[in-house]
Parts: sequence; C-alpha cells; structure tokens
Amino acid sequence: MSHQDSSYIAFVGTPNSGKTTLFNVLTGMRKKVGNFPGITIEPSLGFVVNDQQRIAIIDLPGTYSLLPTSLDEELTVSVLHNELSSIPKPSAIVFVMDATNFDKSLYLYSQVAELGLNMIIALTMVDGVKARSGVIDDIALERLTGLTVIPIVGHKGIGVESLKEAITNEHAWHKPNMPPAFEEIRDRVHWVKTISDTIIRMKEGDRLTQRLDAILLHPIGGIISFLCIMAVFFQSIFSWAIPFMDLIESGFSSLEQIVLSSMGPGILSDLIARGLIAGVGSVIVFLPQIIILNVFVVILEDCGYLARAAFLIDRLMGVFGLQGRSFIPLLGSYACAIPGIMSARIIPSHRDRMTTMLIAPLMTCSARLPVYTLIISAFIPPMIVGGFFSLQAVILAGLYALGAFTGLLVAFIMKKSLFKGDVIPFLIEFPPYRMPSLKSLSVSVSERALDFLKSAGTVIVTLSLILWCLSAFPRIEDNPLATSIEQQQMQLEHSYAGMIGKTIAPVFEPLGFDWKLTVGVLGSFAAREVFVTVMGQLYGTDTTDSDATLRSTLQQTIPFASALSVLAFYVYALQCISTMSILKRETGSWKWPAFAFAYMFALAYAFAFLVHLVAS
Amino acid sequence: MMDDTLRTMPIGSKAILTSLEGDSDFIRRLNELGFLPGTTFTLLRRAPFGGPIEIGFGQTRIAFRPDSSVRIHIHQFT
Repeated sequence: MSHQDSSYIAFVGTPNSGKTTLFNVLTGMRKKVGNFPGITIEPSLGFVVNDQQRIAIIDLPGTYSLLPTSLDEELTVSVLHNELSSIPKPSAIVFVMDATNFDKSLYLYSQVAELGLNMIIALTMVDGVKARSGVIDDIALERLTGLTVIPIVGHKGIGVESLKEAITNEHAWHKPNMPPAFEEIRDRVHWVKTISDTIIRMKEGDRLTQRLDAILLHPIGGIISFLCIMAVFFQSIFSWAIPFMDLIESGFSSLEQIVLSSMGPGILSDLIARGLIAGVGSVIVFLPQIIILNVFVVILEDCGYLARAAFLIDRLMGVFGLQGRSFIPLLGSYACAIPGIMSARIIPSHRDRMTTMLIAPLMTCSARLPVYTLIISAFIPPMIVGGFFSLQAVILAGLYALGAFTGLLVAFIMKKSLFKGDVIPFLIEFPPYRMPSLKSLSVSVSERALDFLKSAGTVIVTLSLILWCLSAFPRIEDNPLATSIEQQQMQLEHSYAGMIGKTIAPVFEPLGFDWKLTVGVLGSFAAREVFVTVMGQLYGTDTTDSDATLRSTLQQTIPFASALSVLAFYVYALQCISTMSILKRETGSWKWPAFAFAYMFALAYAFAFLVHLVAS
Repeated sequence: MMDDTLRTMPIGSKAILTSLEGDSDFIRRLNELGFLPGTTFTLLRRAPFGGPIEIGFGQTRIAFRPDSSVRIHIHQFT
C-alpha cells in the first residue's frame, strides 16, 4: 500500500447507498490514485485530515452480500476477509446504511458485523424517509447494534462534520453486538425483516420516483425520453466540446509557432515545438470530452437514471452478449474512445466491462473523420444515388455502420469465448431518483480528469516524443535551394520513420500501400488525424494550403483501389497510442491493449486486402 | 424460462413466489435481495421487445432478464 502505515478505515455499504457521495464529500480532493498491484478494479483511497492526524480511508465497491457474484463485489469481500496481499484488512469500518433501502443495508450489515471489527454506522438518506412520511428510530438502531449511529443527508452535508469527527476518534469505536447465528439465507432475511419493522416505518415507494418512472419507463414515452437524453449526451461530447478543443489546439499551435519563430529553425526548437508542445497539446485536447462525458455519466448514475437506461436498452445489447450499461461507453466512443473506455467503469460485471472496452475503439471516433473526408472527397465522385443521397455521404455512413456492426459482432464472439463465464444474468435494482451532490460530482469528475493526465498523459507524451524522434532523425543537411516544404519532405523521407516505412512497405504492399502511405499509417499512431498532416508533408503541400491542393495531388498519385484500401484499413485499425495507454490504465496491464491492437490490426489488414483485391 | 404464468401475468397484478429453480448464484442473490418463496410481489413493467422485467416487493424494485438460467414458479391471485 502506498501510504505510510497500512492502517486504514473502510467504507462498506450496498450499491446506491450514497456511500461514494459521502466518501467524496468527506475527502474532497485529498485523494490518491491507488497503487494496488494486480487489481483491476481500484478502490478509491482518500484522507480525512485534522490538526493532529491524517487518516486513510478506502471506498470499497458496493455489494449486497459477502457472498459475491461479481469481481468488484469479490474485491470488497476479499479485502474484508484479509485475502489480498496488496490491500490488508481495514482497522475499522464505516458502515454506510441507506435508510430508504433499510432491509438490504441491514442484511449486509448482519454479515459485516460478524467480522468483529470496530465499526460506526453512517445512516444516509434520512431525508428520504421523511419524504415518505416515515420515521426511523436511530436510538433503537444504536441499541440493537451497540454502535454509534450518525444520521446523514449527504447532498446537503448534514452530519458530515460529525462523521469526520468520529473518524478522527477511532479509539472510541466499538465492536458490534453479534447478530444471532443463521443457518440459511432465509433465516437472515427473516431476522432482518423482524428487526427493520421495529426500527423504521414508511410508505412503500417514493411518489416522485413513481411519477418519473411512469414517464421514463413507459413503453413509448420511455424510449422517446431515452433517445432524447442520449441525443443530448451525444451532442454534448461532439459539439459542446469542440469550441474548447479548438481553443486548446489553436493555443498549442500558436505556442508552437512562437517557439519556432523566436528560437529560429533548428533541432532544439523543433523538439520543443513539434515534439514536446505538440505532445502535451495532444493530451490536453482530450480534456473537454473527458470532462463533459464524465459529468454526464456521473449525473446519470447519481440521480438514478442509469439503471433505468440499462433496463430499456438491455434487450438490444443482450443480442450481442452485452448488457444495458455497455451502451453509454460505446456511444461515448463515437466522439473518442478515451472517455468512452474510461466511462466503462459504470459496468459492474468485469467480463462485460472488459468486452465493452475492447470493442470501444471499433466505434468510429471523431479522429477518423479527417482521414475519411480527405480520401472520400478526393476519390469518390459527388454523384447522387437513389435520387436523393450523395454517394460520398452513403460511403461515410457505411464506414460508421461497419465499425459499429463489427464491434458488436466481436463482442458477441468474445462473450462466447474469452469472457464466457458464470456471471449471473442481468439483475439491477432501481434506486429512488435523487438530487446528485454537486460537490461529489466535481470531486469525481476532477479525480478522473487528473487520473487521465497523470497515468495516460505521461505515456502519451513519451510516445509522441519517440514518434517525433523517428521522424526528425537522422538529420539531413539543409539544402539552400530547397523551399522549407521541400526540406521537410526530404527530412521525413530520410528519417527513421521514412526508412521504417520503406523497409516494411512490402508488408503493406498487398493492401496497395506504397511507402508513403505506409509512413502515413505509421505516423498516425500519434493520432489518426495525423495521417492527413503526414500526407501533406510527404506530398509536399503545406498544411496551411487548402485541402484542395492535397486532394488533387493524391488523386494523381494514388491508385483508386489503394485509396479505398486505406479507408478500409482505418475502419478497424487501432491506430492510436492514446487509446492504447488508456486501455493499459483501465485494465492494469499492457496485455489487453496489445491484444486489442493485434485483433484490430488483423481485421484491418484482412479487410483492406479484400477491398484492394476487389477494387483492382 | 419463466413460468408461463409470469410471462403472461398482467402488468400491475400481484402474485406469490412459490419456488425458484436453476442457477444457484442467481437464486442466492434473488433470495438475498428478499425475493424468497412466500414473497408477494407486483409485476411492475416489462422492458420493450422482450427485455428485462421489473418486479416490486416492499421497498425493493428490481429488474432482471427473463433468462433461461432460472425457473420462477408463482401462484397468481385471481
């Protein structure tokens, strides 16, 4: 464990108990990216600080029972049973008990109490009980459990200070009264029912939730509202993020220009401008989409809609072996696979999460668009087909559909082979609708953004620098007669990247790629849209020229079949180091990005080969 | 497969769960959530196109796939 001593307090509770909200409100940004080797589902590690001490707390994944049915539940159970080497048993437990879902919380509590650790109870959602004109007797709960009970209204911050104070006084905590010994689940459930009748009384069901669900889960109204919400979601990551991304891109490119012009031409200014600044820029540019997508996902999850959306779309996703919750990461991947893959954390089933992450890069991300538009506008005539549709648009739509269809097909195959398993079928609880806590939202979102910058960002910058070195070395002498564009063209041709392109060109020859196209494909590892820049450099047109120049040059030099083959290749190939580094981050090893790269390369190669064969 | 009675049970109607057969993990989790033989529940919704079904009992509302792994036997009120 990464903090000084390995003593810490664990947060334990059922899903939707308000546990993570409470944890976020309590720790704020005093968090650390956990470093727990060999664990893919990383629990959050945070700190509660007062004048004298800093107490580590860990938010263990929510579970209904200590008999786990999924990998994240299993993590909680193995930590509590002290079965892991990387996370020892906690010294004490804050049990987060949801007053509006009291029976299920008490069920889990009765199992956790048997561990015999020091505990306190944070009783959340007490306002929800009042809203259902009910009462909860927290004194009776204290008597029954023998523990301190702290009532909490998380999103209003009520009770948070008392909880904080209690956490800094761990020595005053007690062991819980032992519940009776149970032989069967039935006995435990009945005990829970008997006890809960003496502690809590409230009407069945929350009025607001019932009214909202009458619309949001209505057979027709539900689908319409689902489509509307997803349309806003899609629109937000596509359009609302664009101005910020443009701003970041133009900011970094003017910074590049300032460096180039103030330092003059030379290897150092080139390194700083085209290597370092461009590399850092290519990381920062993801932030608007990551932030917007995560704000959206956290709000949907915290307010309770995510469970409903999963319910509505589950049948469709089930056809391909996935489940309802896979829908959002996949939809997000149309903007960019990076935030898409990060948002797959909302899928509790490990197997479904892995499958979703591994097919996410097949969804047509916005970085493929510049490549598609360049090739399509250069090689596909703008004719009208079917009396109405432009052929160019039909081809573009076809490329999108092909990516989605193949992705779902691959998911189907993976769920039948690689991730076949004994997971229980789709089972989801509908929590009451709740107002999300703004503080918890901002903590979650900034935590994920910082996590991306720290773990994926460093890898992306390093790899961009390596790619820069490959295209900048060995240096060729300046030719005084050459224009700067010709100079760039020659430099690239004689660089390692050019040499590698020429050496491995035979590999791509069956696809109809010459060495220039090969270099373009290699260069676009930095990001797919770099293909356009590299093509511009190799064909001696400046990026500041209009695309028309490049288009006509390409038309004259690249055979039609090869152009189609390039399109086919980009539908499938995982040409993106950023996606690979986020896959590494989210799966915990390079094994999975390597696997994804290999299967997508094989798909891309086979498909491009086929297209080239047919077209020529 | 669910019993025909659950499949054809009208939305909004009540029934008593009589027994569960099949995948033991799934049954255990349904039991832990309080869905035990003897439980009176309401069929609240069916998702479109033969998707999951939603049932309610007490304060609990859960949805699950009408999956082949569990047989649900019920006694419907008439």
